[in-house]
Amino acid sequence: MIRVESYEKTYRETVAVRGLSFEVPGGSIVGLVGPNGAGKTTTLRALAGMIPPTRGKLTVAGHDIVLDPIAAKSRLAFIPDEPQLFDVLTVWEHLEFTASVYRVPAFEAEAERLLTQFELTEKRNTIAQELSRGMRQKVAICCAYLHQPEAILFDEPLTGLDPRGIRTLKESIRERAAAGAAVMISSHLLDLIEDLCSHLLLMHRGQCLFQGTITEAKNRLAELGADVSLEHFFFQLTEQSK
Amino acid sequence: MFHSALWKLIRLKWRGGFRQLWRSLKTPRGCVQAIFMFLMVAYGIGSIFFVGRMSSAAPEAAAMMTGRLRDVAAFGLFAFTTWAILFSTGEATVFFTSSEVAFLFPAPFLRRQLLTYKLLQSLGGLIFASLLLSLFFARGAWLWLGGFTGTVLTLSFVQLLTMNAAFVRQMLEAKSNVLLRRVLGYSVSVWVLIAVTQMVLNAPSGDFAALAISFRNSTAGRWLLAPFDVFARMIFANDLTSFSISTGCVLLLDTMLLAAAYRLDGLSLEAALAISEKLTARIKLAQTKGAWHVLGSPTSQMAKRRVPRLPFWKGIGPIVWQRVTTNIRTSAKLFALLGGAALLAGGLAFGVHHKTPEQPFAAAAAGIGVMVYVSFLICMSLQNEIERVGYLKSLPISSVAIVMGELLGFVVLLSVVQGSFFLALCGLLPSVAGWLVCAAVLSLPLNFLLFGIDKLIFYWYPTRMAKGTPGDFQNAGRQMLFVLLKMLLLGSGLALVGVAVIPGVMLQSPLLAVIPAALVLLAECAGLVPLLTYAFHRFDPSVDTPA
Repeated sequence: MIRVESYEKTYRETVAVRGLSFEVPGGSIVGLVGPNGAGKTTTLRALAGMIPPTRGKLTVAGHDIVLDPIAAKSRLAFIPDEPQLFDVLTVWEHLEFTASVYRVPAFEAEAERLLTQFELTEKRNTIAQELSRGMRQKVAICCAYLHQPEAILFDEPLTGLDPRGIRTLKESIRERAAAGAAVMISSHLLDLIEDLCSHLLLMHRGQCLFQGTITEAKNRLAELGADVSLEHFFFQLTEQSK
Repeated sequence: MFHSALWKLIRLKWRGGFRQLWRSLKTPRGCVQAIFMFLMVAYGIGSIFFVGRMSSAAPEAAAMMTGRLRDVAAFGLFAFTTWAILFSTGEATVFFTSSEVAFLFPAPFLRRQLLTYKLLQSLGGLIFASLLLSLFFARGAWLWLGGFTGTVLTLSFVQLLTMNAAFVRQMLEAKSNVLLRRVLGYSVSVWVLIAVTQMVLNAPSGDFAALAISFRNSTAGRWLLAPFDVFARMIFANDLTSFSISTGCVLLLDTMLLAAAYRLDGLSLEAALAISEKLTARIKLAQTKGAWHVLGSPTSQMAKRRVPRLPFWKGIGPIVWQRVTTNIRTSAKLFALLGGAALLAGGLAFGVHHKTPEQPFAAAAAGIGVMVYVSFLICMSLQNEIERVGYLKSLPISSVAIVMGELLGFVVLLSVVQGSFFLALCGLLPSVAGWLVCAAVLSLPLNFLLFGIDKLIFYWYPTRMAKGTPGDFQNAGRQMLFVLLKMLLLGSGLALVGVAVIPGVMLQSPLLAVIPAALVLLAECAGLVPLLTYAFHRFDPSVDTPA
């Protein structure tokens, strides 16, 4: 569903991402982890078609994000780390606009279902400016889900959410993956990655240090006789690469 | 083909804006602000028409005024556009808000559709600005509607030209090397400098109209102003024929620029993303830390600028130290502005002294006046930090010490600059050195009073800087109300100082003037401190204070 081949991104002399290749098949949830400045957000933004790659090929559902951006973008959703809503628009108007962007016919029923799922029904006529950060995050997620994307990119999705919101989001991510969507989650919360993801992609200084299933990562540590937590794995690999 | 969703977004945003306006009109405060602004606008428009009627009684005067406006309009437009292109303000034409970035950039839109959206979105602001400007031009225009259409097309031209320049710059930045860009940049700067120098030297006098006519009459000016001249001709057309010809030329120019913008297809999402992040950070900085902070952002190199640690002084010391350190690291351009003001004030004092050497007092007053005006200017545009108040309240320092520290941190720096200038001016005007020393001494309490009143009003009515939208009557009304209140309080304070100075001025004795003035000023400052402390104490940072 998502395929990245030899992706490279440079800003003048700085190399943000170097020769990254990976694949996220439909139905899998990939955790993108790495220290600050590893190139996680740059990779997600490139996949979302917001920044062009310096080199390499990025495809979403078989469509090249550079050569065929409209087709690729129609099939994906990107939820940035900071929920950015239109201050003067109501929650419902955000959904109405999103339906119009992705040409979702008769969106109302699905929109109502999402509002109920994320406990936003009472807030449907509230303007975004009056929402808390967590609620804004929920609205952004509802908008992202509305057009049933085949690929979903999350950048630090749990920030600001309350425990119930976290649980709802996790469940919804599992549901989407079970329905065949390819999900990528960039996060510093290793517990979340361990709990939710089927695969792991560990980046450091623009390079991929590890990619594989979570079980493979744990097995690799077990072979060394070390503690098999993801946290230990993270520190071992990133410290080694220094 | 324009995407229907983008139409919907424009419509929803307008509806949301009106909804918000309507909601705030239901509150007494919002209603008062809107009515006040409405009255101010009505007064402005009324005075324009009143002057218009007066001048229509003397057709020669009106014709002369129109001719003068026409002469300077093309030059003014050229100067404004050049400024916009050179100083990258064209970036604003391709500025997407962070919510637009989040919703529109990953969405299936073509770049050209986003460009059209941006142009359509700015059209509302253009029409509103043109409406106001055309009221001013109405006196000189043959037909008001013609003047209005001309203004819309003129502003569109400036926008399209700066947008194209921004696209070309982005392309050059992506393709050329740093050295080439620097060489190009310096070449353009030197060329502009030479042109401006020639224009000033050839002008018969130093006023703007004379400079504009001098430039227009030069060979380079004729060529450069030709495209801008048609806009002036359209706005101030005398008859239908000249109006039709100039309108045809204007439409052709605008269409060419529009076609160039689409042809260049230079709206790079990456560059737009970078611009959005930069400008959003600036807006946030201005909203939270104050408009002047936008002028200079701190870098690691600035960490070299250090201030020695101050004694505790009941908590005033650390607050002043933090304030002064922040100011010297972030307000480099503010101090450059003060330096520029000092040069201007010095030049003015020198000029007055050169013309009337027998009146050194007038020369000193001119220099002092400019520097005091700069204080007013800074104070009026200074933005207080709402977020900082919460932090300050959490400190184990008394309210009075915090209030004093906050004020002194900026006031002392400003007064040192001004005082040094007044003392340096003594060298030029030794006969009034006494008065200049008095001014240097009084600058500290005067600035304390000025900025203290500003802080007091902020603690009473905390507001954030709002991004202005066309037709936002309440925001504009609120700002005008605050300025009026500041002027009223300051005027009352200074009136008392003025009364105290009278005996000294009458007796030509600086000492007799400065001592009562200083005493009155100090008494006012002392009276201000408990008021500020009380206002700070009762300030509730948890209460939301949007815009």
